[in-house]
Amino acid sequence: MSVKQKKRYERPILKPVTQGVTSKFGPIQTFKPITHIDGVSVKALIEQHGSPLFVISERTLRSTYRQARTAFRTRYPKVQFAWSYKTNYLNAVCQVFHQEGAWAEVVSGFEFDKALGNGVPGDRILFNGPDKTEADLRKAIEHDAVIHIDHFDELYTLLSLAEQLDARPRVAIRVNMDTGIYPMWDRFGFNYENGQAWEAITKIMVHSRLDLVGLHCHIGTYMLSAQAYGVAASKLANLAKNIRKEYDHVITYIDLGGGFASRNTLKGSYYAGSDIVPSFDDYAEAICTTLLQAGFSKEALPLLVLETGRALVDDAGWLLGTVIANKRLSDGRRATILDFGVNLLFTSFWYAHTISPAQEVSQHSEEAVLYGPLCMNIDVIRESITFPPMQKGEHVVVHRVGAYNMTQWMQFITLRPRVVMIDLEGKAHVIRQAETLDYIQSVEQVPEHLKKVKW
Amino acid sequence: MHFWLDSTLNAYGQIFFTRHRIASWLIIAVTFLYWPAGLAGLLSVVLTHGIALALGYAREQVLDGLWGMNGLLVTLALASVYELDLTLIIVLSVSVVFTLLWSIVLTHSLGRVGLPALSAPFILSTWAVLLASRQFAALSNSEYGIFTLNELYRIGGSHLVGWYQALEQWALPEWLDLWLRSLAAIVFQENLVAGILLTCAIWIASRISLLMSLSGFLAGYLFYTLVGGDMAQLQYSYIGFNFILTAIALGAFFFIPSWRTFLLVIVIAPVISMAIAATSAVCAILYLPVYSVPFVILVLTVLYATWFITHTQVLPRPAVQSYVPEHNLYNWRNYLARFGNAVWTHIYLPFMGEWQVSQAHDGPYTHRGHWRHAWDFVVRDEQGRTFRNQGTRLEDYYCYNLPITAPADGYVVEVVDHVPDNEPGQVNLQQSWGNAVVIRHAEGLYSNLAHLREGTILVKVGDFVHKGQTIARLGNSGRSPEPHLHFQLQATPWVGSRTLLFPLAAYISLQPNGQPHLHMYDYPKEGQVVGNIEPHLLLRKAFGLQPGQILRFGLQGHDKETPQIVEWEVRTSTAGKTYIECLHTQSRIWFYQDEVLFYCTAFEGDKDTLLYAFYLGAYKVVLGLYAQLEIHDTIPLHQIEEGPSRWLHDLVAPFIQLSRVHFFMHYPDKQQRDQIRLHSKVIVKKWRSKKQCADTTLVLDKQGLHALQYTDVYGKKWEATRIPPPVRMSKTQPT
Repeated sequence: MSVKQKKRYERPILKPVTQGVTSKFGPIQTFKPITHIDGVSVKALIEQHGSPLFVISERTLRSTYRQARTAFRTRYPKVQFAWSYKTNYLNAVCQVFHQEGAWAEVVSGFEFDKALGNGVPGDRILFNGPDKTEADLRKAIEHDAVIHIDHFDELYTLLSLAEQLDARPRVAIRVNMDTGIYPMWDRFGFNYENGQAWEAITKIMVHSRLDLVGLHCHIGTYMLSAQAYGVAASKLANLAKNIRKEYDHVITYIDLGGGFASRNTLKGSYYAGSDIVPSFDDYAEAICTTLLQAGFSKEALPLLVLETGRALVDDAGWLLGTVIANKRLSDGRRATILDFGVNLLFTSFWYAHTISPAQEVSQHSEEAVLYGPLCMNIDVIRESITFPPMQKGEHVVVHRVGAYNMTQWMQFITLRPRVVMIDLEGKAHVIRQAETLDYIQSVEQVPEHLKKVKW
Repeated sequence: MHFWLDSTLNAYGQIFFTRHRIASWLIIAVTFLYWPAGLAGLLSVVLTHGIALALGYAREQVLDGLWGMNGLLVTLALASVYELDLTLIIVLSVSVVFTLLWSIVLTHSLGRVGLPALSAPFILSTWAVLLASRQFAALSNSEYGIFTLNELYRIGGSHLVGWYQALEQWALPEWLDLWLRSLAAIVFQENLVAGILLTCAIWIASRISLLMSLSGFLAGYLFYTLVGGDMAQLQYSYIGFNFILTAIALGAFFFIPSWRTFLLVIVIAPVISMAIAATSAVCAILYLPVYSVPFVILVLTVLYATWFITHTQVLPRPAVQSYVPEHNLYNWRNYLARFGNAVWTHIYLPFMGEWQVSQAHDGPYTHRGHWRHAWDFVVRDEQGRTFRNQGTRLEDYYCYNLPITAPADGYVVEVVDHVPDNEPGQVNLQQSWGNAVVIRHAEGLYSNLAHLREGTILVKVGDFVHKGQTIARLGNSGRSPEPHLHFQLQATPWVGSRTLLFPLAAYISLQPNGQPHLHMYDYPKEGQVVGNIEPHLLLRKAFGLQPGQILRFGLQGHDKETPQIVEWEVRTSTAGKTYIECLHTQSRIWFYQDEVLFYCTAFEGDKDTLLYAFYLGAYKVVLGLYAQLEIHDTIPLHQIEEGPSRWLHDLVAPFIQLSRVHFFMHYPDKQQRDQIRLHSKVIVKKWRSKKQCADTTLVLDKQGLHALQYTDVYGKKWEATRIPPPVRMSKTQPT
């Protein structure tokens, strides 16, 4: 005897009829529910770990890494990835990349310690960033990390430190340059066009207290033009060749930094991200072809280092959430309030994230605003989205949240939720526990005179 | 002095094709059983060598001892016939010069057709002297052998005579008696003592030689018994040694000993019998002794005839004659195991990174008939797919537009660059090969790279390309439903020629779990993920040895309190082969080295040296750094085991290989910057037991080989550290 199930209630909506395949607003949207991630049911995950919940797919992490690696390895003989810690420094994520062979790229003493804690040998840590304290530099020198010098003041500090410690630290200089893109990033490192970069190189070579092993640049972020990397590679290669010529010194690696775009759609972009973003092969093509044709001798071919973060991790992250309520706004649009907001989904400030329902929904959709749970006006996940009507308690899945969210999230108004990783066998592991009040307050101190309040 | 001693010993050893010192001394001792003849023989060897050197012939040729041996035999033969007096000495001196001339003429004229002179000069000059001397009345016949007991009494009194008689009356089986006397007859002795000593000499020199000679001798003996031949003929002049020498020459020395040469020795015995009978009949006309004529004729005939066998493995000959049949055999076995597929032109994979073989030789789709020895390569992802997205556009395919590189140096001989690329799923059967490049690497060796992308070929006909140089981009032109590289080697310069079975010099294959595996002179198999070896700076530095380079080490441990300084020099031989020589012991490692591999091919000299430790520790090294790579190789048995413990094994070695020496090298799981530790082991597997013979750790740093830690077969530990050459301050050093 079949059990009679109550049909899902759907409130009536009004919708203009759109005909044909696409309009200028893009293709007709269909809402394919995401019920499972790597074979694990979304519903079960939320039941077990609560909502909201970050989910990371180990399978996607590894396959994305391998795709990137293959794209470069099949075009250039010496390639090394360095995992950009700031993109996602959950230890479990870092370890997946380290297992795949990536070094560590860190930008602060805190990240440096994290990398050491993950067991990365000091000599496989690349130390970037404008703010390295003297203590940080000492530590880096002791661990034989490569220090990417950002400015002259840092160079001078390093020179005096090298003298003090009687060491010969390994360094690279960070170069910024015009690669034909806008905006040009010129706040990090030494400029190529105005000669600052060469001046820095000269200082290093003349003082000979530092061992110049590499050249680094980071031309921008979310780069939609692969060719800009070709320009950057050719400028760095020129520097390397000039160093060889002037100082008879071989540069061992050229570091093109990161900035490869993930397939998220930028706000205001006409096309969907997945349609316009260059693939790893496109970036590799531009970089490797340039380097191979730069005229290095076979023996002095530099190692190509890449600090790709976003493009490696974004696809592997998912954010699961729940509908708190629906309401109608003054202009008649529907608003749906979700249990995660900009506090967790920091990237929603610049991405129009793809959001899918986690269960079967009707094929009808209407214009809606997605709000977060914060009691703040800025807490908007999507200002405008065509979305099927959802009911309180139903779940949604946000795509491509692996990059930056788990490092830039805010502990604001509420606590941060659990993060789980689904391993290759489809087993979910908690890789970060949900925060508790005690955890947040454990670092707080209340002066004695404030401890008592009379009511 | 060394030269005179070595050349003299070699002349005696040559009689039994050996250079074994003890064997040579034993032979000398035997000739001195009749000491006047022995002394005359010794002097004639020195005289022959002296004259040859004075005339300006190459020292190496003299050192070989073959010329000396012929002079020696002539002297021994004549001294056994005539009384040793002043007249004979004059005649001997003349005949030594005469023999040397014959030796020179015959070694060089026969050498041109790849044949040895053997004892032919001896036969010709002895015959000449014998014929001529019939007119020299002053020569009187020797009494040696007629009044043996008198001689013995004069030397050793009644004791020796007693011994001698006891021995002579020893009731030996007929064949053994005949064997010993035949052996003795080789140096013109006829007593059992000489036979016994010479048997020992052969045994010490080579077990295989003794086995073969006994077998050949017995086969001849049996044949005589069967056909009822005139045994007296054998007994009378002891020309049975023709069986012995032929068996050593053909069964052990000139060919690699095997069951085939054993069979040859047995089969040829009746032929020798006939040759003996025939030559005796001919010689009888002129009253000349037969000597070793049947041996010389038959060995030369067989060597010349077998020269034309096209199958190289039927009766292989040693590439380098070591003068020890066992060593020849172990070297050959080892060579087959290591370089059975070796080729002179080294072809590598024509791409960067790791690709998968989607169709190998004799593939199920198109690699059939004339095109069976070809490979197709694609790039696959984790899921085994060759494309991303839907695979509906060429750009979706991982390998599309990837750079294709020259597989080896060569000249471009044909370029097709105008065939449009197909949409995925379409094939162009009119222009099957699509865009293609053919490169000539050697005479009759071309590589053909096909299905390239239209308009991307960077080279033109006549260009010289270097290995690894990008020549085009991969496309989907021709008979190619999805982008893939078709790679084949061929003997003719056209696109679409029939394929040639030719191995790739070296590559790494990756197991699904990432475990790398080294292949040398091998053929990538379907489904394998393969890539070129990417050289690592430190490994290149340590093993990129240049002629003239000197390596110095401080050796510690090894029974010595103070560190001992060891110096090696890298050198090149006149044949262009490279070797490392220990400047103290003149021990040598012969090695081969290119961009991606270093391996030792042979060791000679003192095994109680650091150089030997290096030989065992760096027997084969891949110059790329692959975590957890295991290298396996085999070492010739005689490089590890020597002396009596191997004697029994030697006897069966031509038929079955019971012991093997394995070399294993393990690449570190974890990388350290500026330092690599390579760990290797040598293990002897015998029948069912295993024994570790060496355990070596090589420590490499930026300057090359930094240290070598070695535990030898006795568990003794050696430790050597590089002593750097005087430091030259570079201009970037702080002052």
